[in-house]
Amino acid sequence: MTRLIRLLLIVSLLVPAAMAATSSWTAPAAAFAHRIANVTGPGPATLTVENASALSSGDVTTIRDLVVQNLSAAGVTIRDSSTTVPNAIRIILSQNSAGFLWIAQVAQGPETLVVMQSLPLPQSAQPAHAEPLLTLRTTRLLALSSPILDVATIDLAGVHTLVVLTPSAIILFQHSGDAWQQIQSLPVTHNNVFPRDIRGRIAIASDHFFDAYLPGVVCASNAATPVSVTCRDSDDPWPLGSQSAFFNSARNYFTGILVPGLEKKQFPPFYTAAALQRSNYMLWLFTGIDGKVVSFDGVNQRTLGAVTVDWGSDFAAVRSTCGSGEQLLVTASGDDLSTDSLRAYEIPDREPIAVSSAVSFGGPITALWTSADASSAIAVLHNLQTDTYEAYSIAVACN
Amino acid sequence: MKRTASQWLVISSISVLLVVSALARSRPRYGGNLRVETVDAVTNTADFLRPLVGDTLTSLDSQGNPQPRLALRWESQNGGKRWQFWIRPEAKLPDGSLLTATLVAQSLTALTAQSHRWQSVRASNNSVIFDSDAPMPDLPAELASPLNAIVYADASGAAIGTGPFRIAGSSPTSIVLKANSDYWHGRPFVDSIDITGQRSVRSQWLDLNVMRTDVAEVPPEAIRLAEQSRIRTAISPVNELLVLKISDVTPQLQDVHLRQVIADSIDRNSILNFIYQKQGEATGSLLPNWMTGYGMLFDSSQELATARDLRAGLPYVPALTIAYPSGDSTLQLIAERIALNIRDAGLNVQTAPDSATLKADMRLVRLRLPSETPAVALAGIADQLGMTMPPLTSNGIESIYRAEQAMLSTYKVVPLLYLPTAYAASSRVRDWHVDKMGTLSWQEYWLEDRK
Repeated sequence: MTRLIRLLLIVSLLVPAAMAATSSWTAPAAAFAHRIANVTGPGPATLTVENASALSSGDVTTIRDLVVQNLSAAGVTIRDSSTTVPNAIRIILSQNSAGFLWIAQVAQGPETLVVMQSLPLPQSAQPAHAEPLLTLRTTRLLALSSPILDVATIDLAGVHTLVVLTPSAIILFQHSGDAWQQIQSLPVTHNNVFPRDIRGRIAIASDHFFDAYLPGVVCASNAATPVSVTCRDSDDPWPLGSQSAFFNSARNYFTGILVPGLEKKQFPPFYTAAALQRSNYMLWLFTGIDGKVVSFDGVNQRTLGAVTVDWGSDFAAVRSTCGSGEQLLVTASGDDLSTDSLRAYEIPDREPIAVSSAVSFGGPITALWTSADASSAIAVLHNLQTDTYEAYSIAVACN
Repeated sequence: MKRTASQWLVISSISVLLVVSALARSRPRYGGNLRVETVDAVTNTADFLRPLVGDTLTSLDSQGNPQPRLALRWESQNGGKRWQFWIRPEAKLPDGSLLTATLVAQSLTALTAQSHRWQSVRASNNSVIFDSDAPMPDLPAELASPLNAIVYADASGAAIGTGPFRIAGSSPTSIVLKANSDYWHGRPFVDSIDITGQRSVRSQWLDLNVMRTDVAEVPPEAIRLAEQSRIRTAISPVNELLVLKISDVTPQLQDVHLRQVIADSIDRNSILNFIYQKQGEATGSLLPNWMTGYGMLFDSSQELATARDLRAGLPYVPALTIAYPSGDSTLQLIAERIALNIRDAGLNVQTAPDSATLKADMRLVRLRLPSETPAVALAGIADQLGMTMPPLTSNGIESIYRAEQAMLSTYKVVPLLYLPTAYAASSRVRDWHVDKMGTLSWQEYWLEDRK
């Protein structure tokens, strides 16, 4: 009985996946077969299918079956390849820089005719989850072709709304069906030149919807609908938890000056800062532009040890109901051309300890910020295959 | 570049220390001087400077679609025979003045050395207008070519523009570029680039080994050796086409069957395997397969039996000559191999270094892929080979295939190999890569501080 339930469970999981795969090829295969049939006309033909693309063997079989079905519907009957028939169809499932290319060579005696059909490449797969200790739960929010700098959620007239910060616009999205639909795009106006590796931050405001911080620019929203923003050149410090930090508007890092400031007045320039709550103090962590990770407990400043060698320059603190109740999500070593990962750490004593397995991403994480309520982090993945930017909400779940 | 196996061995043995090291990831860091060496002569007007000091009106995304760059938007009129591009208002020149449409039109009008689709370009308020007698459906993609970067000469003749770098100094063998802090697309990470020219590849590798340069060249025939020597290389997809161009001026070569004998007799794979150590692809097509996906439809295999049969049916053919670029030992070797292949088919062939006075029947030619967009690339290759590309019936890949098929069916050009572009870098260069077209991404590199 248990086996039967298991089997049903597996089937219930696999069948929809197989159906989804079939459905995505149904229309292109029908159109392709229709064009082939226009060349061959009705009658017998032989068919060979070659895969010269990244398609899986399962997809190739599906496409072949769909093409054969549609050819049959058009009166083209596929015969064994040893048979002598007027038409020999050779299908090549190929790929080029724009996407998939399906090619059919139809040999009719001495003449060979060619039919081609282009298809876009599918979106990349979701990030893979590794074996968890604590588990990092990733929820894909949306993808854009332009860099996403930060994402926040606001309540707009009772409707859950995503605020997405890009270098050129603040874009508002609301749920419609299964997808986020853009409802407004508010241009970011600025006089200065933005630096390369641009960064930005959205802060939820108490008396209006939000403020958006970009290098040398602050954009403030209004407090009513429709939403509007007013941008001004400003070096106002960016909010980072209980502190604010001045950002070097010509570079990609913070200057090291905090407001209202910790006991130590200034830190070296840093890429990222995060604070972990301790019983009677806050432990601040900084990734310096020299690659070192330093901690500051209000009295002592020290450089963290060997474990941080594998850390990237971004981290974000999130609260959870697991472990110590607060974890640091940390990007991995690599560069902007490699894949990346996120892993949760805790710092029970002097050195960080990994408390989750790494969640892999198919490209570099270009932004990582703690969400407004600190229950999750926003991570932005630069998908190198599609050259798009994908925003994810990352939360820590207990095992 | 003349190089012997023993020389390469010496170079490789001293380069073993250039191991790719695993460095901790960091956000890109600003600052530092990137040192580059090249075999070419460097001048302050050289073509390679165009994308460094200038900027293109458009760029191509990863799918090959045109995206705004110096032009914010564009539209076609009159069935694609007229295009209007509106210029980004905030792009600044080195003297702080803003780029105007008039300067853009001047720069593009001065592009006389290369062929392009348009017949005239003129300024109109904050836009430029291109006109042609024929439709130019791919003009936005064509304008993304680095050779179409908007650059003009200052009073001293040096190239200036709105690009990521500015020329700060030059000598007969070197040039210094400084980062443009006002660059509208974001200041480059490095502060400066020193480019030293006329350095042999051997000298470049030696300098790389002792950290006297950050970037060195790796010719295709030395890629395998560089990899075996664990030199940190970045290799592009194939983007350099090697072809045999057959003259139809010679009376006997006006017979298409004779040209087919030559094409069918060539063993491309042995050239690829022995001379380039499998670094590249044998090709029967003018455009690379990664771009079109249909490369396999053009056969690149040797058809010696067919060539011999065809030859048997032809009258007497006097000795033919294959020319190769003078001083290019690699192409000389290839020419000699091809001559052997053609002799196997029953023709008498000799090789000779090319010169202005040589009346060659065939020439070995290297071509850089001129664009990432198939239609623009095919038109550019046709121009470089002095051929006429048949008009495209649509912008689809099938139409481009038919045009390419028509060009190759004459056997006036025989595609041989597609080769990659490779460079080597020191371990302090980060985000190290070359793009699809083999271009160095200067403004994206940054330097690891190694004090």
